[in-house]
Amino acid sequence: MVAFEALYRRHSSRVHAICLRLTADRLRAEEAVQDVFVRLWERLGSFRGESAFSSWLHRLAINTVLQTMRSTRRREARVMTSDDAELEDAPIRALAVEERIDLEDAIARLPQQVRTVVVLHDIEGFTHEEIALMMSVPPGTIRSQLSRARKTLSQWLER
Amino acid sequence: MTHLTDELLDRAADGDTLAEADAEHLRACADCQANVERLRALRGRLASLPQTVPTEGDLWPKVHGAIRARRRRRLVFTSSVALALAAALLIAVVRIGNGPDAVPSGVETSAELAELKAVVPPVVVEAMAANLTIYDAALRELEAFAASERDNSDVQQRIEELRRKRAALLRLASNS
Repeated sequence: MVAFEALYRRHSSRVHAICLRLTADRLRAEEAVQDVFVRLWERLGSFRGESAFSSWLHRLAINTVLQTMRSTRRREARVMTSDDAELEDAPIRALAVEERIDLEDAIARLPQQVRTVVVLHDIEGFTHEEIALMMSVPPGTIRSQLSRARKTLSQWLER
Repeated sequence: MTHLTDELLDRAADGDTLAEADAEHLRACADCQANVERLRALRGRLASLPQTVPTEGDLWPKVHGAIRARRRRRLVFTSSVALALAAALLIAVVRIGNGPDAVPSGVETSAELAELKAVVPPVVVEAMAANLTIYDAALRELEAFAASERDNSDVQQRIEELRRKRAALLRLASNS
C-alpha cells in the first residue's frame, strides 16, 4: 500500500485537474478522484505497458467521469431520446453585462457536454474522432460543439 | 460579402485545409482573419492552462479507506467461495469415495495427503488435493491481509475459522 500511496501522491493533482474541469464541481471532482484511484488499484494488473502509464491513467480518469455523467444523466433526464439532441439543445446562459470571468470560470459555466468537448480537445489534446468514441456521438457533432464552445468562450472573455 | 461560418473559422484556427474558395476568402477578408486569430489565441490559452490542480485537502485517507473496504469485501467473497467449493468437492468425495480410479500423476504429495493415501481410495486423495489447494490459497490471502491489518480481529477470526474447517474436512475425508 506504501507503493500505491506514492503513486497516488505522484498523480493525484493531474487526475484532479482532469476531473475538476470535466465536472466543474469541487465535490464531484473529489469523488471522481477517489473513484479513479480505487479503479486504478483494481486494474493495475491489467496495465500492459502498451502506452505510457500516465496516459493510461488519464484515460481511466476521463472514462470514470464520463461514465458517472452518463449514469447521472440517465437518472435525471430520461426524457431525452438521443445524445445528439441533448448536445444540440444544451442551453448556454448569457452573462450579465457587468459580469467578468476568467478562463477557468468560463469553462466551468459551459453546459456539460460542450464543456467536455472543449476540455478533451483543447486542453487534453484528444482528436475529434477519439472524443467521438469516448462520448458515443458522431465526430461531426463533436466539431460543431467545439465550435460553439469556442465562440461562447471568446465572447465571454472579451468583455 | 459572405463570411466564413463558425465551423470553417474553427477549422482554419486548427490548421485544417479549407476548400479553395474558402481559403481565398480568408486570404482577402480582414474580419475572418481577425476571427481566426482570436480563436487561435483562445486555443493557446486553453492549451497552456495548468496540467495539475491540487485538491483542497488530502484525499489519500478516503482513497485508502475505500480500497480497504473493497479488499475486505473481496476477501469475504474469496473465503466464501473457497468454503462453497470445498463443500461441493466434499460431497463429490463422499459420493465417489469408493470408486476404483487411480490417482493421476502429478498429484501433490504433502504429508497430509500422504497420510490420507494410506487410508482412503486414490480418487478421494485427488479430490482432497483440490480442496486443500483452495483452502490454502484463501488462507495465504487472508494471512497476507492480516499482516497489514494487525489490529483487525475480524480477519484473525476468519483465519481461525478457515483453519478449523480445513482440519474438519481432512478428518471427514479420513473417515469416508
